[in-house]
Amino acid sequence: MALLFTNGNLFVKAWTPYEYRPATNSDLTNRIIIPIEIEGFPTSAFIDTASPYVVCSPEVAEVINIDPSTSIEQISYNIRGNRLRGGIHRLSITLLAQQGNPLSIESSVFVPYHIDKDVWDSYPTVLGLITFLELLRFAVDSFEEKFYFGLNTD
Amino acid sequence: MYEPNIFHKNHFTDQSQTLLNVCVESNSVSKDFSFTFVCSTSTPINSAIAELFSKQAIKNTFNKPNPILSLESLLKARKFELFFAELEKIDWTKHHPKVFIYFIRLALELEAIFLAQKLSSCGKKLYPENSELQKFAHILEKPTLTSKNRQSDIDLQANSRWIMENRQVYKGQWVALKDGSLLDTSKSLKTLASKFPQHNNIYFTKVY
Repeated sequence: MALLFTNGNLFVKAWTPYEYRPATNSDLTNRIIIPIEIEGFPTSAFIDTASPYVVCSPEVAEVINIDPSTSIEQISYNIRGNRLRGGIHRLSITLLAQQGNPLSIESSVFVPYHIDKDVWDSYPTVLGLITFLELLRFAVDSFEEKFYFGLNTD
Repeated sequence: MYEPNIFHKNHFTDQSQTLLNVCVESNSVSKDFSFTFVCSTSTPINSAIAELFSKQAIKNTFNKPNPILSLESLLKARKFELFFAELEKIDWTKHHPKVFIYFIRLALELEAIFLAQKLSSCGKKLYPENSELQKFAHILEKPTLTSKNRQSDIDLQANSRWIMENRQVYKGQWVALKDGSLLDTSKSLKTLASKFPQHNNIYFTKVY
């Protein structure tokens, strides 16, 4: 089912189901968690409009073998009260779709270095606003737990 | 305002007069000065140098506002509009690209991402031959669409249903799912992913 403006023009038509739950055992709030691919690796991520960056989970970064030489290295970034050091990379993120077409977007992604597992606590990858979501139109249907997404050229 | 460093180069004493040559350096700018003054042979040269610092001529030369330091202060104070206004007044052909890279990094440390994006785009145009600035501009570019017509045949809803139904059993474990069927589990994503080198239509997630 596509979402339309009141004049009948298309808003967006692709959607994916999401999990609505805390990101980890110690997380205090529910998150919208959707399936994505990062550099072709299929995993989950949560939507965080308060985060400027996409932040790649260190566990996923380890699997996708990111090349540090292609990054802006030694940047620090405050994540959940912890000042973490890492690099900023240009990576491909794909929003997967149950209906409609997936979208692949190149984005600036912060990858934390050498992080203590207790500090990261297995949070999934974060999809932030300035380096990712700002390209999209998106909407949340909280009754059917669907995340709608698309471009303004759809 | 800042204190310049004064370096004694040499001095020549002739009867009651001393010619003192010094190099005054501040913020990578240096200038030589010569002073002649009357002093007794017992006057230590360091005292003479200290007295020199009070000389208005030296102060006037080095205490002009430094535009790069002013920019840095504006950025650290998060006065971004003023920062950009001052940035445009500077003749960047007289400055090394490293100065521009310093400001991009400072913007990133301040988490002013939009500013870092704008600066890197400016830097790319100002210094087209500088590979580091080209790299910064590429990495910090706004998000760009690379593909939108790829066909998808993954049953994401089936995976969601599986997670809801099996959450308590597999809590805290990484699972590999395909169209609502469990392929394998592990405490480590790296271990689990290594079992499936071809990730086609497989979904790796941690269950909570």
